[in-house]
Amino acid sequence: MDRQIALIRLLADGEVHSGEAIAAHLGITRAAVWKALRKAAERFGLALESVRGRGYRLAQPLELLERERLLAAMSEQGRAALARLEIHDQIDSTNAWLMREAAVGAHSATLCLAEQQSAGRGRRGRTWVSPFGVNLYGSLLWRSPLAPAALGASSLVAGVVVAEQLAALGVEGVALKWPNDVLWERRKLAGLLLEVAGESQGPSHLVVGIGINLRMAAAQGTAIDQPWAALVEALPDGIEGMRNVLAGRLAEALLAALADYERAGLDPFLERWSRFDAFLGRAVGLHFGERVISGRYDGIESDGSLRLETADGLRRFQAGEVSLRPLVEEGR
Amino acid sequence: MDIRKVKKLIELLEQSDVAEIEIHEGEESVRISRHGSTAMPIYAPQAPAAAPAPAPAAATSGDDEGDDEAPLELQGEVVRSPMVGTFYRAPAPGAKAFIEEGQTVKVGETLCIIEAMKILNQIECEQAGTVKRILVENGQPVEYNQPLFVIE
Repeated sequence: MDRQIALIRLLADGEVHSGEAIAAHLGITRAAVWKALRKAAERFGLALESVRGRGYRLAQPLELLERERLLAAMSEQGRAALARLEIHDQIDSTNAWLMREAAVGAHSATLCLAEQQSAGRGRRGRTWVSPFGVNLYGSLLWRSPLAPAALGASSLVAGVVVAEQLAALGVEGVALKWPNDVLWERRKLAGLLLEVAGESQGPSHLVVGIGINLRMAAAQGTAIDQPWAALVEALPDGIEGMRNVLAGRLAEALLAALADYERAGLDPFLERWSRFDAFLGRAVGLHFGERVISGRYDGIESDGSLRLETADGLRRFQAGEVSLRPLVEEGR
Repeated sequence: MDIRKVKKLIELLEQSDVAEIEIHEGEESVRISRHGSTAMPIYAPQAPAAAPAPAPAAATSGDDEGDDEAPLELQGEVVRSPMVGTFYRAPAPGAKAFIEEGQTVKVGETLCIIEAMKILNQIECEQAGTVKRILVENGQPVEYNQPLFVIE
């Protein structure tokens, strides 16, 4: 573990730590402490406070990922379903890491979480902003005997699971935007990116990547090119202790849902998805690059595709580059 | 047939009330129809009988037609799209393409990505050989069973 991460781990509790204690913990001189603190704060985008005559503390305590706490949030059954849990301080991308591991034989139900991603990914080259310790970034590997093409609707299944788990924490007004953006007050609270590879007739392996904004500060999210929300805004009583709990519950629910989907398809999830449907009956624009198709959004089809009532009649869309925004929000 | 020409045809069709058009050009043909309630293109080249269709589901319209005039251009292993989606030749915009024409490919190598419902599907090479042709342009929509590559 590098020195700066060791320092952040020490300070994560939000308590004041004296310069002497920090120096001793890191094995550096008292004189080097301030520089180490400054570099760590800069690297991880964290606010540090100096308490005169006593030492230093983080402006905001951090709940770091802990194996034991995460597992404690799962049922016995859930823990049994999980093959492997990997927690990284830093990683390029949990999805990329898991796809690489899958290629060399990683087991189904391997979960990879990271405190920070250096190359967190969104769709088509977009970055998923992933500062240290303040959000949730994780990916789950699922191996299936099905063909990659048969796993298409798992994208919606994963979206439902995230929405349900957030609602279970007490978030009111969680909404889904096809196929799986998770919104709160019209702003993006969580995003998913799925990747699949395999032989055309199966078997295949699916990586479900999930990013949820928990307590990212406005200054940390300036690079995000769309309105976003963080869980802490949606829960007035705070989110203390929720990071590991959410990670554990999410993993358990996702494993169960993927097993259900493999057995029964999308059917059992259609009604669950619709409960969070943000745009039903609304006028929307569907974007294909520069091209826009306007219509009235008519919910999702049994195969997970989007139904749009257009001037030419009802049309269904599956292509992933479709973006959906209410027309009133357009004109950018 | 030039993919831009096909695109043009699709646009023409969408602006008209015509339900279906079929164009023959030399040994290739393309048929574009408003399929059911959608106006998505059905690209239906006459595949050589020897080319195995990689996907198990029911063939799309036009697949069984014209077996008697196999186009020379599509000889070799035709890799077809296993799904409806958007075709990408590189892992990210601006990144190096997975494969180029003339390159040799191994089994298991990624040929392209097809994105559908926000899942990135890595299409793997199932038969080693040389990439003879890349039939779709980056960022274009693809239909189920549409030919993507010719590998020989």
